[in-house]
Amino acid sequence: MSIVIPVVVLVLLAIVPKLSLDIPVVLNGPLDSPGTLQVLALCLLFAGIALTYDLLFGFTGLLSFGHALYVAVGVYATAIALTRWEWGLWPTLAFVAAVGIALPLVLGAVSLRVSGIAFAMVTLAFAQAGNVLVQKNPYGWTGGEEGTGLNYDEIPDAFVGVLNTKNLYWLALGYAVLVFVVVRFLVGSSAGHVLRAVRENEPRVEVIGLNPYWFKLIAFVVAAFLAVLGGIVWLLLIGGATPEVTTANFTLALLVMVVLGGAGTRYGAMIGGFLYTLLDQRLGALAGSTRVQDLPDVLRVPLSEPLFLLGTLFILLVFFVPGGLASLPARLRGMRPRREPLPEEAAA
Amino acid sequence: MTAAPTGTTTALSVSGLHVYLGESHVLQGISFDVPADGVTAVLGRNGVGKTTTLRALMGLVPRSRGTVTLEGEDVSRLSTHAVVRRGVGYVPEDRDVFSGLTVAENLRLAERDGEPRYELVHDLFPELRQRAGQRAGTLSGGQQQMVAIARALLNRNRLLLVDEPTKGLAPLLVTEVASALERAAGLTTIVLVEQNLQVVQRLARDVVVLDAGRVVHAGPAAELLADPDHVRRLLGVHGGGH
Amino acid sequence: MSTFVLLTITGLGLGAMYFLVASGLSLIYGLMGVLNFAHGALITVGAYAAWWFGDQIGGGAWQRLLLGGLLGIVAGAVVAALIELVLIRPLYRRPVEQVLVTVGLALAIGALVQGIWGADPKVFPVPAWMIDTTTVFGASIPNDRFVEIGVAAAVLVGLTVFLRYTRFGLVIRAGVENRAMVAALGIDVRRAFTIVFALGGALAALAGVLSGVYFGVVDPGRGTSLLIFAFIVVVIGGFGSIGGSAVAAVAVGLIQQYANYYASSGTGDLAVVLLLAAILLVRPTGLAPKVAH
Repeated sequence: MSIVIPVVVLVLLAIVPKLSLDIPVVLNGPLDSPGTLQVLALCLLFAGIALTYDLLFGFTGLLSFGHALYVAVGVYATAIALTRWEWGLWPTLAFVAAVGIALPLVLGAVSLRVSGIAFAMVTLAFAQAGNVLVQKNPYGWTGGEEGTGLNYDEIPDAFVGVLNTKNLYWLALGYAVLVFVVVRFLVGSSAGHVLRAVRENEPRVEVIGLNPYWFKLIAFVVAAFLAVLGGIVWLLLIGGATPEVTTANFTLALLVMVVLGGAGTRYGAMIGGFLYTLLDQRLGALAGSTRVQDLPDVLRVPLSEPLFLLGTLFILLVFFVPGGLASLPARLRGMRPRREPLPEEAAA
Repeated sequence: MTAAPTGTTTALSVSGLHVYLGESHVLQGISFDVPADGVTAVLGRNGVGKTTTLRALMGLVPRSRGTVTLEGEDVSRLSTHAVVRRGVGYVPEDRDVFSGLTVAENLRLAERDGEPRYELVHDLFPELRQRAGQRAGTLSGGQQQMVAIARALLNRNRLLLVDEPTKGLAPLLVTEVASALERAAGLTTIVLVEQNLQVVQRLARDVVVLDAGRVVHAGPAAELLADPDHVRRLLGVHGGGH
Repeated sequence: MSTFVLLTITGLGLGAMYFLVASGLSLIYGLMGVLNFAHGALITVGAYAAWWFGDQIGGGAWQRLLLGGLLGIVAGAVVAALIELVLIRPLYRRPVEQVLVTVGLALAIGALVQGIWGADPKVFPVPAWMIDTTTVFGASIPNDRFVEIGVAAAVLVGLTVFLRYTRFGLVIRAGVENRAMVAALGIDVRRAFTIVFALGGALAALAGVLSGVYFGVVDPGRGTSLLIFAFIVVVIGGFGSIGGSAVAAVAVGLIQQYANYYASSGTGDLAVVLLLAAILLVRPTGLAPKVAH
């Protein structure tokens, strides 16, 4: 795939906040309006976060059900440090970065001792523990069910206020690009080749004298750290922290995004993340519109629940386009889609 | 390339069978006929595709091209259980008895006909009657092999596919298994994958030799085994032993 | 002492519900190799169907509960069978896609239920007797706990008898160990799949009905929270093992109650989760003997 198209897309994305362009139905308001930029920023953010999950699932073949935990860590650690402990910006960032490396190092080291379904369950368990911890609201830090707001005192002015939404947009874009570059680098490196080998045939990797454990751990920590960074951006975008980000549903949404776009492909996860978020946001708005509310119940009910539509779409995709959206161009051209085998398939 | 000896019917006919396992082209157009009644041995070095052939006949691996005909009926596209219901018994290489079930339960599960031949089975393997209530996981390798063979003999199968039944067994047990198979051969047709040439010599009427996913020789067993040089060329072992 | 008794019986009551969900999950994964994320949705379907049917039937609480509950269980079984036939069976030999489809279903069905009836809990018909308490060793135990424990015990016995003494149970036990070999004996395993899936659906629906009794309400989120604990129970108890699920369910229910009370609220859930991690790290296949696939 040539370098031209991605660069063009990137440039287009970068100039979006300067464009006073209306895209009816898809977006509610011109491209340079704060509301639209907010939505698009979220889409870009999730493009990045989905890619961090794909590093684990699509490239290394590690099915984790607890990736949400690291996004949550980014969200809550930052919120707590800034708001409850009233730290400055840089100490906060340093703290969150340190946690973002130390925590996955420890949890990953423990979780990776098992594999397959057991690994999935252990990661789910740790994420659940995170969820419980947040709900318990120790010392009143997390705010429990209600979550906690963000103290903007220490946040640079550039990111504060509705008029500066475009800066948040660029921040999200920057994040997505950062994740892409890091993942590409890792995948293309010799460590990356080992990762791919691990996904396809782990015993073979052991036979040639490498210990897959360390490579998996590297992938795990990198993916988690990038997710933590994503959490920080999320916090800035949303302006607060809620327990929603610690739930299993959140990780499942990431899984849906990745599979939607095409696991293990270059751009698949990002496309999936972007589209899922866009659909989720816009369908939600559409559901509240009078046009939908006036429909008969049979139509109104399914249409007013974005997750229903997304779930159904997902099921259809799994059946008819298993390679995800990234495999569509090849399919349409009539070729067998180049699909990298997913984890358990390689073992089947 | 092969022809059934004149005067017998063909129990099984394989024509142009191709099997891919992942990227690997394991069977590259296998063709052979198995005459009814008696034993046809499938020989070859390790890894040439003998087990895959049996598994393909059973429908346990996807058959990409080719035809398999069982007593005239095309079974090439049937699923595993459908093939078996046509009267095929299978004794896999790893025995695959159900460890959590008792010996009796293993046999009960295998019942298909209205009249399972328990007398025959207990006659061949009296130990199974004694150990009926024992969990199959606690049996020795030889005893598990008996269960595996008994399972296949319980029903009146037209064809038995037997994969290396004597592998890893002590000489006394090898003889016992060979005797059981000899008796079974009188009742049905057997396709036997076997590395032990003494057993082959005792049981087989015809042989099919595979190499790298193809049939490289087919004909009467006695003929091949009488020629140690030929055997060594085809199988890389000295004729008559293992 | 009386608090301890109350905690114990409450823990057993919760464990009863976990067991019902876990046993279905365990059989489905053990036999079919499918990690059924839609199981939580089946719990929700059962709970809401029971509530809705009960509403339609009207009358006293007992009538609404029993008839509605029965229909709810049937609904769970039917929906599960449909799911297996339409969505799971065509994806045979594609285990990852099967799991993904159940994920999509979980999202879709959960959203649909919420769309139709809203996110607020609905009051479940609970007969007065169940709210009344009986004194046991000085503790006042709400009677519904005994119902849950009784039902789960009956199901445990029923399942065990079914697996041990029927031919179908034999097929399932063998299939959990090695389903290819079962097919190699001439048995059509796919039919077994549909039946096991439907059975799992019925059990999940039953758990949903009991949760309505236990909590007094049905709400869209209950299925998911029960499911997570059921997953933990299944993994601890070992996939494919009913006995293992029962033991693990009791352990999880009790630990949760004791820790939540004697330590602090929420610690119980944490403790259970850490228990899972600990057990897995020592025995990745769970407590039951390893099942081959």
